[in-house]
Amino acid sequence: MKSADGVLLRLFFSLTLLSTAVFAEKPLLSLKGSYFAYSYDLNQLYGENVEFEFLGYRVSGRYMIINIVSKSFCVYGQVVLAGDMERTAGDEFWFFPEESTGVLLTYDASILAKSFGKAGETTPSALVRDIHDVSLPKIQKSMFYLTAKAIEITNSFEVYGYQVRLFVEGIESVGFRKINLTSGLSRRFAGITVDKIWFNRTQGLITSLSHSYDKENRFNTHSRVYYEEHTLLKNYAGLKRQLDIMTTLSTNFENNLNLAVNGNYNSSNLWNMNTILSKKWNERSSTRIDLTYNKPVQYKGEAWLGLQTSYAMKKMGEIAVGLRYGSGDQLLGSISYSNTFLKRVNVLMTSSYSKLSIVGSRESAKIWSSNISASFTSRIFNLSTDYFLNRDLLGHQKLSQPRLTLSFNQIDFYEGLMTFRLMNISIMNESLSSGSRQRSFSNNLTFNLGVKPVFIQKTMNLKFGFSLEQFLEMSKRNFTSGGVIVNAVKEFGKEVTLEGFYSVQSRRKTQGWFIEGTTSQDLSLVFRVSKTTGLSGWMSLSYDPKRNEWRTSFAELSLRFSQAWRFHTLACYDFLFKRINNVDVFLVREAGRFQLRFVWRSLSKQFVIELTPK
Amino acid sequence: MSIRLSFLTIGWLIANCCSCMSFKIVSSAPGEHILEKIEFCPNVEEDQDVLRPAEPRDEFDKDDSQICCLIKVRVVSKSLTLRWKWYSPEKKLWKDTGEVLVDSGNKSIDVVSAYDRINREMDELAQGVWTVAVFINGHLAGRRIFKVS
Repeated sequence: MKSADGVLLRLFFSLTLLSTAVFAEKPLLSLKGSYFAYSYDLNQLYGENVEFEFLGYRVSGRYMIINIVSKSFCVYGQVVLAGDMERTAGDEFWFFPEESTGVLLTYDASILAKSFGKAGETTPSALVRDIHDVSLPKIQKSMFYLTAKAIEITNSFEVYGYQVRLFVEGIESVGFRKINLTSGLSRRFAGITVDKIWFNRTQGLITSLSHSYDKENRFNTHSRVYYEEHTLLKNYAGLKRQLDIMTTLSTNFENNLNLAVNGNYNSSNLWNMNTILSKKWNERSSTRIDLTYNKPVQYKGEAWLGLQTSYAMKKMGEIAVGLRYGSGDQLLGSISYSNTFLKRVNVLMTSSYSKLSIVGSRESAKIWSSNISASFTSRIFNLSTDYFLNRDLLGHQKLSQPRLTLSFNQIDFYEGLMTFRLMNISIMNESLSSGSRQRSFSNNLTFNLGVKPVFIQKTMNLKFGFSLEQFLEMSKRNFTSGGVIVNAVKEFGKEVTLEGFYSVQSRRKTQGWFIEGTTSQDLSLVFRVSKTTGLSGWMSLSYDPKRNEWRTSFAELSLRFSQAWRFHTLACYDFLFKRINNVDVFLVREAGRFQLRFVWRSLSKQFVIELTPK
Repeated sequence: MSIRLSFLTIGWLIANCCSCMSFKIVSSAPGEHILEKIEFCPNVEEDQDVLRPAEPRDEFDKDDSQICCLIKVRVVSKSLTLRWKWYSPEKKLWKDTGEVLVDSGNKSIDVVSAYDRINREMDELAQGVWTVAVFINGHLAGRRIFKVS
């Protein structure tokens, strides 16, 4: 146990040193100024009287705005770029540190643009973005914002502040000499990083490390090691420790050739590896070769070698072929062809064959399946037909399923006052197994008639809907369903509405001489308040006219009492049991990239504080 | 072992926090005359001495007889000058108001709102994206674009 202690302590301090080494990442940009304000909620930065080095120039300006999310950087107001030999002044300077480009704008008799760095490759207008997106008052309304006297932005867009003061809901809080203000765009640093060292009573000691390497978007690799030590826990029933290793590697060669390798390992004797080589020959054809090995827990590992290729011919359609060969003489093959004729007829043909090992058996399952589908689209109707055939070569079973669908597009009558839709689907199933043949047939016809809202008064309208459906089976079972929906809306001003909804649905089943069926009715009322500012909500009441009883009532209320805080509640009342089913109460703070919620749920009698990223 | 590790973790966190946390740091304050907002609208309304945009938007068509550019400037205790420069889609200067003096009378004012406008009836405005640059005390304080269709 003592040696385990020593190993853990050494691991602990090694990780601490590693994490310190990570913070020493070289900055992308070092900014000095009289005032900086950074919004954690919005991931935006505002600066005043700013100075920094860029492309060998000493850049200064009255104001600066940075949007980390969109990677927008701008200095404006009396901008000066001072080099060794030249000094250029302007009004607005947009720059992109990652690409070493910039454009300086001057508002004179015309808008003059001067490019810096590699900006000649792109038009200046493409570099300029909206300036009003970031402002100091907007940052100061954030839930968390920080002021600083100097800023450093790293290659991974982490923002570090010096002489920092934290403001929570505008109230001044603690200060920091140096602190990471943001979690950045990506947690992927170049080199080794410690993502997590944590201890909890359910998982024990948790450690997570990652390693990343990226070279000019041509070669990149990312690996992650996750370790759980359970021996520190009392009465832990599972494994003593668990290790997960995940790694991905991708390389882009010239001539559209890519190689990717993915690997995963788990200490419970589970691992897999996948190597993919893909080549895009031209805009119309591509090929992919992959080699996969998968070792599941308690089973023997399997290796697969696959080849997939597709070729798009101009007028002759597109053809795709796939072939995979697996250990144990397993085989998967597929071929597909698709094309469009005369702009309206689409054809798709697919065929596949599989020969797969059955666990615990020497035999293999051999299945051959094919599908042919054709569709015709016109302004009035759509007609499609498809034929599916599945053949189990081992079990000697065969399933074939031809299907025909005819649907009419929505037809409007009386200048759109009435709308009509009709659809019919016919399906035939035929299965052949051990010499016995089974055949079934079904036909489904649906008919919908709708009416546009009829205004009885200026503030009241009525809407009707009628639907009929017939489902016919070969076994002479016949289902007929029909329904009518009436919807009435009464407006009380622009922000208050009362909505009534009544529906009758009937379903009849006929089999020989026997007829059975059900009819249901539903009546509900909804009262809505939707003020653009302040209060909004709705309340619904549901009534069953057939049984002459009230069912349930739902209510939702939302009250915005400041620009960022909102009170929200949901409730449900059950008239049958005469009790409140549940009440949920929320207090929500919208804070840019995250949302803070204080929640109370009556059903679970729980009070929860949730911090959810958006 | 777990207690020892817990103490070690807490100690490590405290040591890390204390090395960077400080109560002596004085927060810096922003300067005066902060441009809060630039908005475009066909009309401007007055509400308790503050100008507000009526139907603010960034796109105008032939039915709009004028286009107003309304600005809000925060924290004003000294006099300031404002200037609007309107640029056509060809990036040519269409209108320049010159320096307009706002005299605060040495009083501290929370918000100053002001606007400039171009008249569509008098001027044949070219279709496309227009730019307005707003200057406070001679330096660019904000810029925004709008579309004329």
